[in-house]
Amino acid sequence: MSNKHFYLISLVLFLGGCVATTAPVVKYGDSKAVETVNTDFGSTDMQQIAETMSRSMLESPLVLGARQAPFVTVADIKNKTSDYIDTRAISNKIRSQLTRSGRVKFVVSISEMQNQVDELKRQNQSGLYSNQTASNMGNMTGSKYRVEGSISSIVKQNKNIKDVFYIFQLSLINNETGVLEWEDEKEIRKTASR
Amino acid sequence: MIFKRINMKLCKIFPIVISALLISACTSNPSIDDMTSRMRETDEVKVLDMRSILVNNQLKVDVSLQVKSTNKNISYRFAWYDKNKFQVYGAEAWKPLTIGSGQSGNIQAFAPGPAAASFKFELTSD
Repeated sequence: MSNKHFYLISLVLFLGGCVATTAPVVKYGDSKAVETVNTDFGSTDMQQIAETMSRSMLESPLVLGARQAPFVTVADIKNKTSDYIDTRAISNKIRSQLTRSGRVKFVVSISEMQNQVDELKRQNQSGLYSNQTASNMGNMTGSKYRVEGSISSIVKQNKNIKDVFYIFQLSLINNETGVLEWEDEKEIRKTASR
Repeated sequence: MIFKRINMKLCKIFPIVISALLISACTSNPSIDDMTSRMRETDEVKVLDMRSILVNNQLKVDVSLQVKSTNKNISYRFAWYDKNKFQVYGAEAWKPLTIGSGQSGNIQAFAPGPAAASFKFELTSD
């Protein structure tokens, strides 16, 4: 083998090695760990908000003092920030935590209503189900309370610092009377500096 | 004579009763260190006090902290256990500790549900 061939093969092997080492390394991480990639709304913010709000609602006299778990539905959580935030994911997380406590019962929300109606129609109008096992129409449970809220942000930045202030507000409203039975807010400040 | 015998007996029983009471008190009230789990180097945070009460059968916790310095990013969470010492309601998310350097503060937590009978305060750093 000539020297020329040897150098060429060495170069190919070296480049091949470089490509192999730059391949991404995939590993699983702790989904509960604090995430500080940037100041955008992240997993830690969502988890903190859901936990604080669900615990605060559980502590309210309306929920904690109730003999029977109140029926609640989730209404709209408005995103008033300039970022894209999946507010449905936040409300679902709050709902999961409250449901697990056993102190609150949720009925289908407006966004889930179509699926509920479709299922009832399928069981009652398709002619495929026996009358004994089909879920009857007209027996849905109405919620006495609804949960609604909003998330807002204030962003300030200069050449070296970016400061983001999030405020999440949640209310529990009596559907019949319109009375605000419980309300709380969670503030989060995130700062990135060079 | 009878009174003297009773007094003698009481003198013998008294230390035993006192030590039994002390032992039972020690076992029913774990120390702050027992109730704190430090995952990594978190010496910057001193746990000053821990209190818990039952509100309508649900545990409410108050932890007093003193932060010596904020060189590291410290996070905390609570782990909840049922009366059989099994962890309940899953692991909480780690939350960044936002108490400033040289400051003291309190962290309050309300249990996720009525099954929580005891808790552990967990601390970790980056």
